[in-house]
Amino acid sequence: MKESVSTNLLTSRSALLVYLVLVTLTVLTWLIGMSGVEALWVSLLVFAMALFKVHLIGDYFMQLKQVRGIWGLVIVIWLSITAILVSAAYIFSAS
Amino acid sequence: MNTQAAINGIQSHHKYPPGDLAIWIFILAELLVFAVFFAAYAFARMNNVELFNQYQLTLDRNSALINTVALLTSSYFVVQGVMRIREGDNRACAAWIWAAVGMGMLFIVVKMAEFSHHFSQGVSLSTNSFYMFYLSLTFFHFMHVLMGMIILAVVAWKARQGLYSRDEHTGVETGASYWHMVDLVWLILFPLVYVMR
Amino acid sequence: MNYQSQSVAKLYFIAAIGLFVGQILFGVILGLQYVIGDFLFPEIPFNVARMVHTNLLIVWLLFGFMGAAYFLVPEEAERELHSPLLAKVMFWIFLVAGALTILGYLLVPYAGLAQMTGNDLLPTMGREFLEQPTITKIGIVIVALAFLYNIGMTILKGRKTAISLVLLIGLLGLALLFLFAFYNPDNLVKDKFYWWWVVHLWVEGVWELILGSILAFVLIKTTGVDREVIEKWLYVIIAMTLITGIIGTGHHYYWIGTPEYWQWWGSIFSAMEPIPFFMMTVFAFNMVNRRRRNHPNKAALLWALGTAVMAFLGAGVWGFLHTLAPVNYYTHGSQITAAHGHMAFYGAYVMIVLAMISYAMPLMRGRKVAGSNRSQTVEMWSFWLMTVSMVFITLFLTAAGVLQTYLQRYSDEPLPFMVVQDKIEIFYWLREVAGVVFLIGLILYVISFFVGNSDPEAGGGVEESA
Ligand code: HEM
Ligand code: HEM
Ligand SMILES: [Fe+2]
Repeated sequence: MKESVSTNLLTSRSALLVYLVLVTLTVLTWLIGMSGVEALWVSLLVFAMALFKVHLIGDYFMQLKQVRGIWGLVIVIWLSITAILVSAAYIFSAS
Repeated sequence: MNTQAAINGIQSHHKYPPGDLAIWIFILAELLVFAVFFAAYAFARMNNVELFNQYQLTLDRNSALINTVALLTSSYFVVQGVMRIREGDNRACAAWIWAAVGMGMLFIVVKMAEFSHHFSQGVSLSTNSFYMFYLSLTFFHFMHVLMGMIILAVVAWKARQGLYSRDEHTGVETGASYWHMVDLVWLILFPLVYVMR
Repeated sequence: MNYQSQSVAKLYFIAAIGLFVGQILFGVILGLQYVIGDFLFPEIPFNVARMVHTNLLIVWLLFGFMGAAYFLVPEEAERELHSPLLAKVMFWIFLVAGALTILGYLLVPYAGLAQMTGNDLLPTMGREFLEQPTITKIGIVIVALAFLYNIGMTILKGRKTAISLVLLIGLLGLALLFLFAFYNPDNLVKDKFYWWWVVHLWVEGVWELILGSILAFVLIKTTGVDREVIEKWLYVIIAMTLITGIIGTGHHYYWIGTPEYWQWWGSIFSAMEPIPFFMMTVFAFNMVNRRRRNHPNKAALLWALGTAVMAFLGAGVWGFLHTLAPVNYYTHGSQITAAHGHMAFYGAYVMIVLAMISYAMPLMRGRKVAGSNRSQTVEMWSFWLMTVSMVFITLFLTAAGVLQTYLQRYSDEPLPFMVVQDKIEIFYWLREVAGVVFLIGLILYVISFFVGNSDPEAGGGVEESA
């Protein structure tokens, strides 16, 4: 087997790390929500964090980082479409 | 190194994602429905920003936080379950998956409390378009959590019976992939409906 | 044919084809009445002809489904049918009841028929597709129960496969949802609301399960692809069907007095309904590409592939065209609806029944695997004639519908209904021409059963591996 360390992604350590990042970003989102700050850029920042979280789930928990070709990109593609549609609507409604 | 790689079930790069390919086709279709729902929410909001902002404040963000963490934790447990079965450890796998189901249960309880709060205030699908979307989106997702829990319960039960092995555990990965999808969708739903203004 | 009792399907198929011919004759009459308003008046008024056309369609499709089940289930269960006698008795009851009902439509004024059959006791008549007298409806339920009992027992006692299970669930759903035909509330909103539980949840719900399982069966038989692969596809397809199709019912609730949220629910979920149809198309071609053998019954495979394509076009594409609430606001109840209704019914349900007949009939008539080359050639001609003319019927009606929608409902100065009808008359003439070609195709189809019967089997009666 021609294994390299970089392909060996889903170890207990990396899973825990990803989990902690996910929870941290979630709490951050919640804090922003509770703080009551209101601005388009804040919403978009919150949204960007969510997209990043989804990306982490896809790459690490669903292990798509190790999948070649189109199947490895499905979450990224979905994410991009959702991102464009939702942020377009938010940007338009702020102006 | 080789053993470590084998333990984690990672043979360099794959052509297909983990689990049965059929579940992935299903996941894609489901994701599409949710994407359309999210976009519909965002565009409906565009014509009604004031109303959406006003009623968003009536939602319980603390419950949403608990629920997001519950789902993330359950997803993490599922990941652990998958790693255990790749070592051929059915018992440990079953334990982790049951723990994930427990987290799903927590989600359900919190969500039901939220729903009953809104219903007791007389809120319904016809109250206004914000509540229409809030209730529709969260209820549709709620059904997916239930569905995912059923799938995970079956996987955990089969693992407990020792029906998987180090070489053959597609079923576990299939259930895991579906569950991650349920989690992933909520990760967008949470900021979109509860936080973004 | 592996089991003697499968041959009861032959009766059902013959009746189905006979009623199909009747349906199309009335279709052609209707089409002519569209352009020559008093054609056959007062003998056969438009509303009666329409009722006969649509009811014959439903009834012959039901005959087709039952025949398909009687052929498919013993083969899948690997045992004889529980009771071939019951199947035969039910056949005659259903046929006689159906014939009497159609005669009733044609010979007695509808109101009189309602009175004669005691509609007052349990009023169920007068709604599109469900015009049958209450006693006929009760007859349908009895026949359905006996039928379900028969194939249910066969499955229960024999091998249980994904295909026969999905078929059984589909047929069970068909029977259960039909019970809403007996629920006829005075409140018009509720009336329409539940009426769709029969009509929509049939064609965009449980019937799709029937379609999927028959398609899977024919593909397994003609391609030799692993059952396991095919079953997996089947599961994904039916799951998607139910998720999108059940709430998708909302696309009929936009303007009937139901709460507004149906506009969102209906639009979002029904917009996803093409997915399972698309999967079926991919599935069918995928299986054929992976085939392990070349089955000499080319005609059956042609019908199966035809279904996969035409169902997607008719239901998926033409359905999507007018399914979003803002579009449907303008197109509701126009010729676009009729265009879609024709291609969807033909592509999904007519063609799948014909695919099954095409596969099963030669076997039931004593062939080893397929009919002769000559009869298959005629059958394939009929396939193309019917399919192409149906595409044209759809296109002409779509053109008529787009114009109608624009002139009558969208333009700055909307015109009255009848004025618009006059302006689009040319398309109704063209539709009629296409309809006649369809009828010719159908006649050719019937002829295909009578030619080349003394010729040897195509492929010498053996399948070659691919
Ligand atoms: C094989 C499947 C299908 C069949 C046989 C079928 C058949 C029909 C028929 C006969 C009607 C007219 C009902 C009436 O009398 O008012 C109808 C209406 C309609 N269908 Fe389908 N359909 C199918 C699938 C679909 C799908 C997949 C969609 C959406 C993507 C769809 C969208 C619609 C809509 C929106 C209407 C209402 C049109 C109006 O407002 O007048 N159908 N369908
Ligand atoms: C297998 C072939 C056919 C199928 C599956 C079929 C199906 C249907 C259905 C489902 C309806 C009701 C539509 C609705 O509610 O919107 C209908 C009505 C009708 N069909 Fe057909 N039909 C077929 C062939 C034909 C042919 C060949 C013609 C004639 C040229 C025809 C002419 C008509 C007419 C004129 C109506 C009445 C439309 C109206 O009320 O405005 N059909 N058919
Ligand atoms: Fe429908």
